[in-house]
Amino acid sequence: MVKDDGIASETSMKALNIVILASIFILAFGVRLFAVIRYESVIHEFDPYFNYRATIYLIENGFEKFQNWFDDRTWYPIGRIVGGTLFPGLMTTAAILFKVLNYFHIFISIRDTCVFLAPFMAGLTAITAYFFGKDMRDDRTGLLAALLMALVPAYISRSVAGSYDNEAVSIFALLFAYLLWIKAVRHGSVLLAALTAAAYFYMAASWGAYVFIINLVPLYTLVSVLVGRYSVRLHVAYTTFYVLGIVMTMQIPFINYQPIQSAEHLAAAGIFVFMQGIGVLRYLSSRLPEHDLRRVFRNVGLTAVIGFFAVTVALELSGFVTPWSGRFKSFLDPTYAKAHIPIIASVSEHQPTTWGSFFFDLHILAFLVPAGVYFALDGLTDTNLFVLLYGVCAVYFSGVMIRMMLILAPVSCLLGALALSRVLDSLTTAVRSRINAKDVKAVVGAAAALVFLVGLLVSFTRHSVWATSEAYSSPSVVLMANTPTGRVVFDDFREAYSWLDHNTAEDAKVMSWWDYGYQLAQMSNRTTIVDNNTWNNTHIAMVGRAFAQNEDDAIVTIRLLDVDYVLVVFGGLVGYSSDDINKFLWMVRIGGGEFGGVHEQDYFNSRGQYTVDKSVSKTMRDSLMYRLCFHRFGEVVTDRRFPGGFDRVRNVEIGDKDIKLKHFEEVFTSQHWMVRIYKVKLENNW
Amino acid sequence: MRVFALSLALLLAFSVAQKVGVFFDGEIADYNALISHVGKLGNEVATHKIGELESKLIVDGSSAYDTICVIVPSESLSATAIAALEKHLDKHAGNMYLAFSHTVDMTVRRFLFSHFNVKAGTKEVTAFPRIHSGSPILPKKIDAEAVKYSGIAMFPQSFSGKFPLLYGDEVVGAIATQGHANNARVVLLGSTLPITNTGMADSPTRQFVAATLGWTMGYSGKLRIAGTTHSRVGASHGGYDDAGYAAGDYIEWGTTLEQFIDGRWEPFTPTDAQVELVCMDVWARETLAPSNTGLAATIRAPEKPGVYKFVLDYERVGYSRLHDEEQVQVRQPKDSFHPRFESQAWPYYGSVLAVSFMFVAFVALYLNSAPVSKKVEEDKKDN
Repeated sequence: MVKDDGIASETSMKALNIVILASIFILAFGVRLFAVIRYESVIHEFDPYFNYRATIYLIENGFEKFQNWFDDRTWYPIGRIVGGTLFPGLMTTAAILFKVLNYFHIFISIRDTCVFLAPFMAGLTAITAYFFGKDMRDDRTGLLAALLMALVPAYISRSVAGSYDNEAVSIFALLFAYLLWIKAVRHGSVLLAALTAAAYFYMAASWGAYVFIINLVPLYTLVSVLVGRYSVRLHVAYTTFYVLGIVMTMQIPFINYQPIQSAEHLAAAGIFVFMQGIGVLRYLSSRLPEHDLRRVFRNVGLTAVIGFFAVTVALELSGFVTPWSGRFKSFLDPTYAKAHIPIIASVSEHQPTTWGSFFFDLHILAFLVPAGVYFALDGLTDTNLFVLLYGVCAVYFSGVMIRMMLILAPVSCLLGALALSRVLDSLTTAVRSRINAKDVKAVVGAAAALVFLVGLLVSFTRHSVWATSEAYSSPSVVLMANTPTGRVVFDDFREAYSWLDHNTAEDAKVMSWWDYGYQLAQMSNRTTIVDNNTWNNTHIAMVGRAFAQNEDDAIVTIRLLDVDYVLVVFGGLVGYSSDDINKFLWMVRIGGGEFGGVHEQDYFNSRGQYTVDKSVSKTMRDSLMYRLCFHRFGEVVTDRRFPGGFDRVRNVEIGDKDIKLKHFEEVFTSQHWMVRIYKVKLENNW
Repeated sequence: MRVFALSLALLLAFSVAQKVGVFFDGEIADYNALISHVGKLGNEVATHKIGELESKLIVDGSSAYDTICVIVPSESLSATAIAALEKHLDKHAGNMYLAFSHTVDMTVRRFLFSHFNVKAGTKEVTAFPRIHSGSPILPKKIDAEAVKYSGIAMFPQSFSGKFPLLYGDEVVGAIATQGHANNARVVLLGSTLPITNTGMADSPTRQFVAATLGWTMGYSGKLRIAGTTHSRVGASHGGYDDAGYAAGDYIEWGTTLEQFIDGRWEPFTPTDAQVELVCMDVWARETLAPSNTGLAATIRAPEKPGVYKFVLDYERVGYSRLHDEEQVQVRQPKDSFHPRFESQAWPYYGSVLAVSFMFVAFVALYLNSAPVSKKVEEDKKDN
């Protein structure tokens, strides 16, 4: 009878777990729908527009054509070999989901599939976090991890509905690969290690941050050996994972031979060799007497280490192994990008993270993580060691680059869940035992601490929902502002893209700064010169330099590129600060860095300030960007306290109110002047 | 004479009627022969006094005529008349036949200088100078030196840029230029004598006027591209599809050029036409050779994928400019371009299969024969 009760209780607990997990899944999905409810089912930001376009191509043309896709409508005239220069994981996932749903007569459009993919994957990530937490301690830890994962703002920031980017599926793939890896190590299972490799393959097919896996897993293996946790299980898991993982990832055209040629993958190869050496030594240790073994260890070990470094250096010098990429070097030296690769430094998500961001994106987890580290060290297991290493690396990387907060989010949830679960367990145990002992003071103290913890969780939930609603649910392409008269929607981008779609020739070429390339290609269906892929620095520099030059010089490049229309984004009328004038110095830096002839200091006034007012430098005033943004702006009164031409972003009256264009003709300006389009005049024939 | 009459008849039969405006100074009766000649070509002719230039030439912002014949025997043209001429030429690509006397004032001289890079002389000349040959304007049979001429000489300021089509060694009596917006054609005649009834009564002069006026109106020296084709050499379907050309493909590019002669379009096969493959820079340039369908050349697609343009740009003195661009894409070879299995590589396949098989066999044998080591057992216990 007792046994039956126990089974019944276990069954009901399992059922309860499933119900809670299902609720967490729904919560993870639901909390990410603010954007859809507030705006509409719309793709967000910039990169997702390319992903959306690529998904349409994949579904309409099939995988083979997708793999061989040469896109002649972007990066004109050099084009882009799309199939070989993207991570196909996201599009393939969406395409499969779309096909499966339609097969079962659940008719959903491609756009909706893309819009809702990220929330769906977030639900799966929460479930994965559950199993991870369960592996770390118990069911309750798992449930807490799942809950935190579903709500942590750092992850929500990249997984709201419409945020159709690689990260949408990658975080799931990352956590799932780690979960399988931990299980493979725990069981020494070839099958689980092979599944880890498959999950790693999926991650590699989805996002460049797969490099994090192929470095963290070897690091974990190395540390395990160094702290005396070597086991055959670890050996089997790592060897299987490495070999299969490398072979699998090499099947992705974009990655190609990198797993055996790039410096980022070299550590994994080194650890593979190292593990075989350890295996051989352990085998010999069971066969040879101790003094012979030492000699062998000394001679063979030393030779192996020297040989490995010699081979590595030789491969580096011969050029067979490609050096570390710019992004990877930025991780090791955060100042590297700004000094050497301005195009990487110019991206806002590549900036170092501020302390405020840590609190904003992690909230109570920022404080729970250290406690989690303590508890993980307290009962060190394979899983906890892995989570600790993951946490340390992720904290470092997230400090270097704000985008890496996303990598930090899962491990924060795991460590936070561990800490919470340990504390909650202690407190509930204390309450129960003290009630039995009738120790009122202790009961009240423990109960108060419990209430405080629950309060923290409530506060975390409130913060997460608020952050999702206010900070992470704006689609960027449609903006909203609160005014005394109510909310105002700025739909200028779509208005302008739609104008291009309806009023220009189908083969018209549109030049803009690269930020808008993906949106232009998808929404306007027009050929673009550069876009957010930023694969060709020279081409971007050509565009940057053209915007930085005067009209007569710029027109040479513009005609060379067969440009028909030039599009600029201008925020001076409504105070939209992410406009091209504020991005302009990056164009100057990138253009000047590649070609020379354009110098940043020429764009500052005599006092060394970057300004557009009357003290503006001649070079700045003559630049194409200045002229296209401020053309006719002098006629507009934006603030009654000032005469016409008052720029509400820079808060100054512009210096040149009488701009006459020579080679360009204004053809479209959106309702709030945020997007301005100019037609390039035909060349005089004589 | 019979050839001339036949040409006229053919022109009448095939040419498209144009709106021709004759703006004259003096008596219209002096130019009856000219007006009659233009009318016989099947054109719609309207005559206006020179003073009506500004009001009758540009109507509702557009030029009212395809070709204008402006006769200025007296001194001057007003600034608004000059502005109307400029608009007719530059904005509407209208053709112009401008004859003036040696007494023209600075306004007209400045107009000539700024628009045509021509300096008008001040001394009166009475003989038409020898004209350099090779111009498609004047048929060889016309004896230019016999043309009745009494007016001023003009000096091209430089031969850079747009070349005048009629010019002599030292001075020129007439200058024809082309290359204004959309290939507008202009003939400047430093004398009104050839187009008067007196001049038109003289056979060489009439032929001269007919040839130069005919060229101005586009009856000669007019070329067109009847069509272009391109396809992969040896391709069965012969066409070009969305997949584009692959790097290294041989492409056959062909075109059919035609020239307007005697009122109809005849094949035109120059030996100096070239086609280029351009992607910002020129990647390939081939001279076109006569083929069954006109002209053709074979071009190898560059190894670098990209969006290229086939560009035909044929600009020769006296002919209308031919310019054609067609965008094509040159893409990377498909992933299935190379055969997946090479039968010659059998030792490689054999060794891979053998090693794989031996590995599996070895593991199976090992696992079934070797006793489980203590360490493995310990590991399992640890777990």
